[in-house]
Amino acid sequence: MSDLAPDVLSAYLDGELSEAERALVEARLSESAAWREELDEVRAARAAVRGLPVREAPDGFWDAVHSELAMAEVVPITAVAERRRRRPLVWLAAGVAAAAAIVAVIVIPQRSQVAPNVAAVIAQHGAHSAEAGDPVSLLAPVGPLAGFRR
Amino acid sequence: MADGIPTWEEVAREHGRFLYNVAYRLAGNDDDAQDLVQEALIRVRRGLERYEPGSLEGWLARIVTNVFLDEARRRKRRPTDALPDDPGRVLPPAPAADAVPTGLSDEVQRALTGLPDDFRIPVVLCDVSDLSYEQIADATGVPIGTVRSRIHRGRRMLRASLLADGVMGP
Repeated sequence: MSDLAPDVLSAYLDGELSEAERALVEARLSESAAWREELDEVRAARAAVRGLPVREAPDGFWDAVHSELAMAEVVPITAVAERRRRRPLVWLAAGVAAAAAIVAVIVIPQRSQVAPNVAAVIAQHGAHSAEAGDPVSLLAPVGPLAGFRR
Repeated sequence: MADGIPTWEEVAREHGRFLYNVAYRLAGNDDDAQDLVQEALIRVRRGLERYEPGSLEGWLARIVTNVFLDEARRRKRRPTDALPDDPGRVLPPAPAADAVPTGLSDEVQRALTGLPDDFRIPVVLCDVSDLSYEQIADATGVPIGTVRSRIHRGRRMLRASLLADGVMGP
């Protein structure tokens, strides 16, 4: 009887032991205060869980479930199961948005490369300000030589 | 029902209350219980062709337990769930806090939810679903000796937790 483990006490309460095992447990209980104490402990815990009320689903739950599963008769059932896990699609959408933002940042600033017509600016400035002797006006004759586009 | 095999509508109608209660006691809250039940019914519908007439509630308990374990594994892989629920979801919200049963039920449920899955599942299947150890072994895929040990240890842990919370006296 010494090889009897205390976990038989729960099985004893649950009616899961053979007649021979029950007899062994009862003999052990009659001689061991520790076993009786442990039996009382697990009996109390067992009663606490068994005494829990039946938890009812919230109002409207079963109608919603019937609608969901009825829809699965039209849509493949795997699609319904997946529909409940749409979060990956949200991630995909976020990824696409992020990629678009990166492209916008990298590409858009390179689009407008300004090529001012420097030669025309110099010529125009020279025509109006030659008498002033400013440094830009003095460059007017060499503009075409320097390859400035008109 | 044909050849003893129910339709999923019959399962939902006649055993839905059982299914929901088991799901709630495993999950510990209404939101997760609703997800578990809905997924379980999808699997019920998919598996009805293979159902062999017998203990329907044992079969349902096994399915909802598997859904619960799958969900637990999924959460372990992705521990944070920052995104909101699917906005297209049609399920109603969980009841308000004042609809939660009063008395000691909350404390017992909290202690139950605090048990590790390996202990909570056999305790719930035994004391809520009223399955035999053999059915629990079948549902969880562990040997019957392990079921016996886990139920006993689970109850001891539960009792210790209720004692620590002052719900039970020494």
